[in-house]
Amino acid sequence: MRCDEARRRLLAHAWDHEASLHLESCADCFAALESGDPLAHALRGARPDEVPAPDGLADAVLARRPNRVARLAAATVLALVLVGAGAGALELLAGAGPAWVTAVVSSLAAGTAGALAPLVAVRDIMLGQPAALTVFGAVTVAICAVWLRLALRPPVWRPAR
Amino acid sequence: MIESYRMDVYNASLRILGNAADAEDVTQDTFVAALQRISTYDPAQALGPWLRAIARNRAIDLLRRRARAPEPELAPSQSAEALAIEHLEAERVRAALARLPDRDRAMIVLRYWEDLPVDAVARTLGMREGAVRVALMRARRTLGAMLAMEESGVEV
Repeated sequence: MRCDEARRRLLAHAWDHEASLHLESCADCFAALESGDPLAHALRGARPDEVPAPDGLADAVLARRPNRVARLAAATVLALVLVGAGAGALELLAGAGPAWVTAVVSSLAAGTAGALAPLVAVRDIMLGQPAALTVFGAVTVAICAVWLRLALRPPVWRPAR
Repeated sequence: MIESYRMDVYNASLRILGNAADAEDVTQDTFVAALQRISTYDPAQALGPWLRAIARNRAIDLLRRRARAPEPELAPSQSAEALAIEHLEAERVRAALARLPDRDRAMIVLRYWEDLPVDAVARTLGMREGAVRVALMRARRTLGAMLAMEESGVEV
């Protein structure tokens, strides 16, 4: 289709299929139709004036800026949880903990027997109930994931109006 | 950086989204993303256009996530359109523009308010350049139809 024919048809009916196909590949026709369209000029003239940005924007952005310390702390917690879960799984699979786990637990228990006694008791109970241990482990991992998510990408904060 | 460019970025977002709260969210997102990706910024380039491009992409993403059903297309007679356009006021144009489907409004804003060339509009919207040419012309016609109907007292 020739350019003048396409332009005539598009001016008469913008949804003309054949003329639209021509327009797709013809930058000249687009420019001609646009420059001849008073609405294109009206649109440029209707560009709104700049308005001031809301107050407190900088604080909000800085509050959402990823914190490296928080990231490191979250990653450390996650790593510890994964190591703990792995050691627990080994204990379950082997029926008894590896020597180093036992040694670590023993030395910790010796140092802080009073504080660890309830944890050891819980651990003993949980080891007898694999299903409960699995649920507990899953909940722990989920909570850590939420913490990690919040640390990496804090929710949007917007001052009240 | 935030203090120098916040107005620029906020207004670029506001023009595309037409909503102050959404524009504020996108502005925050833009600066957070810019701070995260600052190592990819080429200091030889101006910072303003880089930030505005991020803001435009974020605003378009938001529109896509909130995509709504396309509105019926209108095809009025050319003479009625031309008559209406002669009497256009900026405020009426902006009001009619706000009633266009999100994609069409974004396209018009990018082309006529952000002064982007057609290929940049196409890249921003993830469309082919040819499709943008056709869609822009049709969006103008739809807008013209809305204004013409308004001018003649017909509810659009």
